[in-house]
Formats: sequence, C-alpha cells, structure tokens
Amino acid sequence: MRIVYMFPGQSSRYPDMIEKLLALGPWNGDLIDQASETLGRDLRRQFDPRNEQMFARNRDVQVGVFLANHMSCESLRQAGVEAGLSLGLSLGEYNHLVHIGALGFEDALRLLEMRGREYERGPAGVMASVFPIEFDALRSVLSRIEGIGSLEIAIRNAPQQHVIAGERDAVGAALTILEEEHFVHGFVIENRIPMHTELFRPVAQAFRPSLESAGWRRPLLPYLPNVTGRFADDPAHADFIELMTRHVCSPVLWRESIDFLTARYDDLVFVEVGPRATLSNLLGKNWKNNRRFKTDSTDGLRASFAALVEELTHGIDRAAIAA
Amino acid sequence: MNRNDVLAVVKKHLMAVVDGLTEENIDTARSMKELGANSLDIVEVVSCSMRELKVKVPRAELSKLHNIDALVNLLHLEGQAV
Repeated sequence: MRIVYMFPGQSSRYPDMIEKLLALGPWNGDLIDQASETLGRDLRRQFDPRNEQMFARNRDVQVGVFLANHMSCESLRQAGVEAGLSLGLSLGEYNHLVHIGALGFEDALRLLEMRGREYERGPAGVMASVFPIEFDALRSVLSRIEGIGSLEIAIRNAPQQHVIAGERDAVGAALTILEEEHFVHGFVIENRIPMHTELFRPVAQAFRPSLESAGWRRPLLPYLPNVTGRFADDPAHADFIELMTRHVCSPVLWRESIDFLTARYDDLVFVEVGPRATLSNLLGKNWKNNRRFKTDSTDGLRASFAALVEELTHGIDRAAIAA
Repeated sequence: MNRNDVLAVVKKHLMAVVDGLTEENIDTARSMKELGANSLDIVEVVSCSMRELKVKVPRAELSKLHNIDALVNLLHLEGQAV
C-alpha cells in the first residue's frame, strides 16, 4: 500500500479553513507565525474569518491555500502518517515541491507572495469549470470561438471535467454553446485571472527571476510536474526553474498525472491534503477505484483527523490482511 | 419519463458528489446545499442530470430553485416540453 498525497489549488479556499487547522494542534500556530515572520505581515489577522478582505488579493489566496495544505500535511506527520508519493494541482504543486524536499517552506512562501503579485498585474480573464464533457468535444467547441477572443483548456481535471480559461467574452460564448448544444452548465471559478493560458506568458517571464533566486534542492521523493504529467528524471536546479515558469502559462495535466501514477502502481491510496474534497471527489466519478480519503471536514477537524489517521495506519493494514 | 424517474436521476448524481449521502437521507424538501453540496457540486448535479435526461434548464432559472423538489419539477416540466 502506497499513500499518495494530493494537494489542492486556489479554488478550494474557504474563509475558516485556517482557523480550523489552528484549532487542531499547536504546531499549526507555529507554522503561521513562522510564515508571518517570513513574509513580514500578520497572517493570523489576514486569515481571521472576520476579515472580509481575506482573499481580496490573489497573493492572499495563494499564500492561504498553500498554508492550509502545509498545515494539513504537518498535522498528518505529527500523527505519524507519511507518504512516499505526492502531487499538487496548480498552486498545490508548491506543496508537492516542499513535500518532496525540492523547496523549503519559507522559500515556497516567498515565491507564492511574488507569484501572487505578478498574477494581480497580469491580463484579465475568466476561468470556468465545465462538466460533464469529454476533452475532444470540448476542444471542438473551443475551436468555434476563434475570433471572439483567446480561450484554452487550462486544466484537464478528469475524463469529463475540465477548466476553460481566457478572455471574458470568449468564455461566455463557450458557456452558451455548451449549455445549448451539450446540456452542460459551466461554473466560473475565477473572475479575474486566466491562469495556465498563453495570455499569462508575460506573467511567467516576470515571475522567472524569483524562481531563479529560490533555493532549489535535489528532491528526496519523485517529482511529478503539472506541465508534463509524468515523473521528472533526476530534476536539477535549472529544471525546476524551467518547469515552474512554464507552469504559469501551460495547461495543468492532472488527469494525465493521475493516469500515470495508477498505471505505474497498483496499490495506491489517495489522500487529499488541504481544504475541501475537490480532488478526492474527482477520482470517484466513474474514473478510479483506488481508496481515497480527505483531511478536511465540514465540522471541527479533530475527530475527522483521528479517524483518518486510524484508517491510514491500521484500517488499511486490516483490509490488506483480510484480502 | 415520469417525475419519479427524474427524481432518481437527480438523487444518483447528488449521491455521487456528496460523500456519505444515501438515498434514505435525501430529504427533497431541503436544498442541495443543506445536504452538503457546494456551489460547484450543485452545478455538477444539474449538468449531469440535464445531460442524462436530455433536458435543458437555463442558468437563470437555477437561482430560483430553493430545494430538490423544485429542481425535479423543473427538469420534469422541461422534459415534457421537448
């Protein structure tokens, strides 16, 4: 049995995600204080549920979700749970890089603060999640939008779930065709920033110097980049800079990454480490039969974490013996 | 397709997106949000139901629906109009 951690992206945020993690254990308080000191601003105040401006800036979304993912990961480690494999969706790739040892926690924070600032300066656009529709049918719809504006499939989530992103008019035109001809409703997940598209190429170039100045290390565990959907072969400093520059303006190959892992290993147990259950739910949609868990819960986290840790440390062993 | 068939389709897709939900504990007088679905889940349930039933529901109509019964009624009505 191999545990795979999946770290979610920016869309998984919600206002009290950090507060719930702070109540889970004192180590999470230490982490947010360390993060505040690293970035030179009070993150306890920033991510207080009473702060109505909590996610007003993209840098706060990026730092907040990264921090929630990292706190969840640390909470599992404190309980004795470790994973030999991981991957992250979009922003979650930074948690993956920290988990595999390629990037330090503080370096990742500094990078995301800069990445968020560059995203805020980037061109405007919209991202919408669309489902259920197959990749080829969606690509065919997008081909009819040419002339209205730039539009791409930015995230390949699952066989029938994708995120499109681009200029506002183009996204709107695509959603109309999808509704009228394919019985598909779209859901706008981001109203300002067209991530993982060609529109963001200038943002990628502006962010590159920050990537070049980060302290990249040889990872201890396999690196599975979003932009390739397969393990990087012995990645070095220059590879991380190149891959994470491309990451800003290239599609996220999540479906391909999951297919790659399940084709390679037949004993995977997936654990979503961070807010909500978006990634574990994706796996269950007539796609993968692997066991899947999540760290988040709609109630307090203490009971759900205890049950999850029990399942990951003993329950799976019992199931294997019974089989 | 009668109303019960439409209800069965909606329940199936709702159970697929909300962990731990069973047919027995779906109270159709309640909203999907009350049963644990987030905004993205709700769009998914509606989209998957529309596609399976081959029925279109305009996006503008969705905001007027306050519980599962109302969604089922609308899908059933639109289906009869096809």
